[in-house]
Amino acid sequence: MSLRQAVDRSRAYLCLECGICTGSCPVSRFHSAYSPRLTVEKALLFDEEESLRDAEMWACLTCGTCDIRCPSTVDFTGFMRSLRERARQIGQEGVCTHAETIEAVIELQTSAHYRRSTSWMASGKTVGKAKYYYFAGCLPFLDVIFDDIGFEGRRIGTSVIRILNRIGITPAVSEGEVCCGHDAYWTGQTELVETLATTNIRAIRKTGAKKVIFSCPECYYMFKHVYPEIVGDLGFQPVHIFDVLVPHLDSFKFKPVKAKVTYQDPCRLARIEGVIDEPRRALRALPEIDFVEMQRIGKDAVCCASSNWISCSRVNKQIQLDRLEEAISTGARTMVTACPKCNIHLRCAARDDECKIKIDIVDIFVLLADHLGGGKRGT
Amino acid sequence: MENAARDGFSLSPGTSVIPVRCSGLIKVSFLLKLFAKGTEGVLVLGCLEQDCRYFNGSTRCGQIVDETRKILELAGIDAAKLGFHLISESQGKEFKKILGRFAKRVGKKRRRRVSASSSR
Repeated sequence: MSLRQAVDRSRAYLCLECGICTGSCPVSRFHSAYSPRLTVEKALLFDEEESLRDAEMWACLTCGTCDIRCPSTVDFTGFMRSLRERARQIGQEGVCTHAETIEAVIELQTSAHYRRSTSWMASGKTVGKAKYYYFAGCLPFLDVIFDDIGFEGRRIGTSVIRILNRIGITPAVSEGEVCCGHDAYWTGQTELVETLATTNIRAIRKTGAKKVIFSCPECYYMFKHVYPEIVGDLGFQPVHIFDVLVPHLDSFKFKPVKAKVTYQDPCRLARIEGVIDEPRRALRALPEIDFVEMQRIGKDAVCCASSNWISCSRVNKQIQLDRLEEAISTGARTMVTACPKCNIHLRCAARDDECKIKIDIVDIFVLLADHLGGGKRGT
Repeated sequence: MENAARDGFSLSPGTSVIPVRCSGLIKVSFLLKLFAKGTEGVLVLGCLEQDCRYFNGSTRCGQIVDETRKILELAGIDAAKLGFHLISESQGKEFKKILGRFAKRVGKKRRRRVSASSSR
């Protein structure tokens, strides 16, 4: 895609240069050299080469705050994605975090030897073929990679399966499942996304599932918005676990949670999908819980400051510390989140030597599954 | 390797050597990418822990190999295909033995894999 097409498709030509995007951007707030407004202006005024060689383009978190606030409805994140796709063609790329481990895991998943092991599921019932499919995504791999910061990816997956079992759903899982390709999509690796998408669709279709349940907001986003563009009709319906879970909340009879907690909205779930009330309803269903809100919530929530596994710098750390400060100022000592990435990134920041904030980061599904009481079984 | 070569040892064809400055500098991604490219087996060799010039290079390497093995298992690849040994440069004979054993193990697994696919 040329720069011209990128401008046309994202309607960047409507830019009024008002600067609301830069004012809203969590990165610009701590890193003055980065400005969404300037990126658009450069693309409109200067030559293509200069725009594509701009290293600052990889600093964008694709969190979408600018998208929802832009008065001209410019799709800035879409513009950024096209720009990155084009930049990749001339050999530019972002700096991978975690010494490229996650990129290597994805590469391994596309190799011929790959057969995903389902041994990571410690408990919970799953089958090979069923009406429902649970898409765990990269959770078991992230569990191994981020073991040092205490991230328990397997536990999140197992908790989701336990919750589903309690509702009366025995989901199918597959050996052929690979990464959803979310990060490859946002860093402009279109061909890789196509490979991953077709592999996933083939694996899920084999199980005969009609509904695919997601706990990761990013996987959900990919299946709901991007995969249909690549493969057309999916042949099944992508569903977020909250849609399945919320109608059953009353029947669960949770055990009491004696803690003051706050909730971090994941970008894809809150800002893009608008799933804001559901997680809060789930949290309030826990007896004796003291649930408090941070200042910036819902669509205005701040991103966990690192996405697509590229560009993790001092700036990102500052955004994370700022968010943790906000969380702690509510009086809560536990921060609940529904996205594995928010969990990993905020956990990493909270464990930093410079960070004086003591806060626990807990996944919402782990919290719910751990407090499941003896409610009614099945539907 | 030089010590083993003096004893008449030579690498079998299809084996390549990747020199690194310190085994502790090997990254998980580096090992994974070797497997992704279809390498049948990777043997990581490092200095003895007490000989480490950088204090904990070999220990760090052990952790990296452990993490990589866990990821390989999750991806359905036999973790035994990633070997790890700490030896001293003076242990030429030991080196020869380790390499021989590893090649045999990986070779066996490869044959098994090939025969399984051809029977299908």
